[in-house]
Amino acid sequence: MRRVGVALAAVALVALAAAGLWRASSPPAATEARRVDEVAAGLRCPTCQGLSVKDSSSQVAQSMRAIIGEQLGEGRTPDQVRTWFVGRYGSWILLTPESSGLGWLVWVLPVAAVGAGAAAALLVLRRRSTAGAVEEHDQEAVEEALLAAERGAIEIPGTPDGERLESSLLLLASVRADRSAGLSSAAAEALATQRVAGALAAARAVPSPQPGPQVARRSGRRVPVGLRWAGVTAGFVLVVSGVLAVNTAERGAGQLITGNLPNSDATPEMETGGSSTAGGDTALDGLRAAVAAAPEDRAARLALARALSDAGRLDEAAAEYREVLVREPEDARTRLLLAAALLQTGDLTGARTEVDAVLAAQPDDPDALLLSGIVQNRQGDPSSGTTLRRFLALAPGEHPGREVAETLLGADTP
Amino acid sequence: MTVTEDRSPVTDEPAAPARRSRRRWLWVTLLALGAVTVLTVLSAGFGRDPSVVDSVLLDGPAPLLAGPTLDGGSFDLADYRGKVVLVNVWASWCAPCRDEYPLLEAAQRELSPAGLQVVGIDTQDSTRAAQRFLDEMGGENFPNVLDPDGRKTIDWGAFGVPETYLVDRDGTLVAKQVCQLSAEWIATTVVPLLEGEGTGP
Repeated sequence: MRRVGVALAAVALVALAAAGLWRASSPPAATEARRVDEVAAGLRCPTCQGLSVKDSSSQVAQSMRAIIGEQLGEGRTPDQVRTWFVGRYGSWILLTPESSGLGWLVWVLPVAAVGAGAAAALLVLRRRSTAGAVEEHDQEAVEEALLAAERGAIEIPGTPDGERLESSLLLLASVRADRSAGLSSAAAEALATQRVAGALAAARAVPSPQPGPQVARRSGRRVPVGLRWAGVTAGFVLVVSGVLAVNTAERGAGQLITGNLPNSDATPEMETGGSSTAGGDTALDGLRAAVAAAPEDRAARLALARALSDAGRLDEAAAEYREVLVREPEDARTRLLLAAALLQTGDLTGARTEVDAVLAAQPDDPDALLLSGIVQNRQGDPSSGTTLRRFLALAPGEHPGREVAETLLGADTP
Repeated sequence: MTVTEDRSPVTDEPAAPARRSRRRWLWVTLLALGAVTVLTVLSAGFGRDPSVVDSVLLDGPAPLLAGPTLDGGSFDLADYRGKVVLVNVWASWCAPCRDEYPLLEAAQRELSPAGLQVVGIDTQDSTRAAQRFLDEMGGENFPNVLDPDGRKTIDWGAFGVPETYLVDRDGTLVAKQVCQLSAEWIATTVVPLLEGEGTGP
């Protein structure tokens, strides 16, 4: 009677579940809006965090829904529309992982995990139910032990094995009593018997009383349990920190440990001719890398030289300017930059040589005249005044060097 | 044999605990291995910004970009074949865009003789707000294509603002930068493209 009830309930449950599934999967009336929703629900909104295009109210999601509607209206299939978006955003845009490539794992792993779990459970259950497979001589030992226990002629040690033996013997005795009263099954008795046999086997697998060499070696190697755990913990911590160190080490100075976004604190700033300066060694390293990648790249080398000069590394800057000049000796601008760098390092003779080289080719260049005047002034050359006055006469009104020249002239000729 | 004999559990060195402890060690090893695996995967992930997704459009032809511009004119990317084009997605409501604008402006000013053209996509923005933004920044020295409904950014596979795309002289999309540009990026990514040809002395 009870079994019939259980069976009926099970059938009803399965029928209801099937009805629910069928209802959920049966296509609703395919109106235009529904078809758009269906595609939109499977696409990720690019500007939101974890929302589908269907659920998002952002402007981009609205436009994406409009695009889906237009494309479906043109007769494209939902799959073609999805492919159109994948062509722009990659499979990132799909909320349902693809069943090909690596996405295949996402589908297979859960099934595999359930399968493995079921297999493990079946294995354990089967091992338990083969209790009848207790071997004959084990069966005898069990009976002996049970008899001994009933007579109180068994000595049970206070070890975990002893407790196991004691409890299994008690269990077997009570199961047998129940069975004779018709309250217990053969399987339960077999299980209890198996447990006693197991406990006895564990007890029997004891080293012989004479300590053999094997036992001696075992006990000689014995390490306190606490120490062993400490060792394992230390090893584990070591491995974990190693893994973390390796995986988080590749970031340069000043970069966040999470993310590889550019550091927004370093406000960038453009300089002339594609050269650039940015605070910090990371910018210099980037420029250096660019120069190393393309040694003939004049703009990159000039950018590096300028950045070095701004960072106060004038000797290195001068070396880079010289590299540019080796390739283009006629480059007057760079020669003047080199002269300015040398002047700043205090190499007056070097600066003068470079400026004079420029003036030889372009005697009226205001920048060259200004630099020349400054160098001569520093060297104590009396022609400094003439040079600076020539600069003032030739330089345009807004030239930033006028002030310097005037100051120097004022100090010379009060 | 009965269990009261010498070979009974009474002996002081039972082997079962040894076997059980061996099994326990096996489990500990398995657990530790599992933990290390999970940590490796996670910490490798720490190094990545989950919001940065590589563009699938890279190394392919740049998407189309044509339409009216903020100054009332019109722009078509197809007309700029032979130039290196820096396409910047921005909006007046985006703070990093405000910070990066001077850099774009300087890039257009300094590098256009070498063959660079900067173009903005002013996305999901009102014309008035965008105009005010540009006035604040000291005027507009490169075209800005209007994109009020964000459709042009979908064509380019943009996730947000600011994002910048680099199109080479052949019309191939060669680089993409998510978030604010740096002068370093211009120097290392844009300048080498310009060096190819048409460089000034």
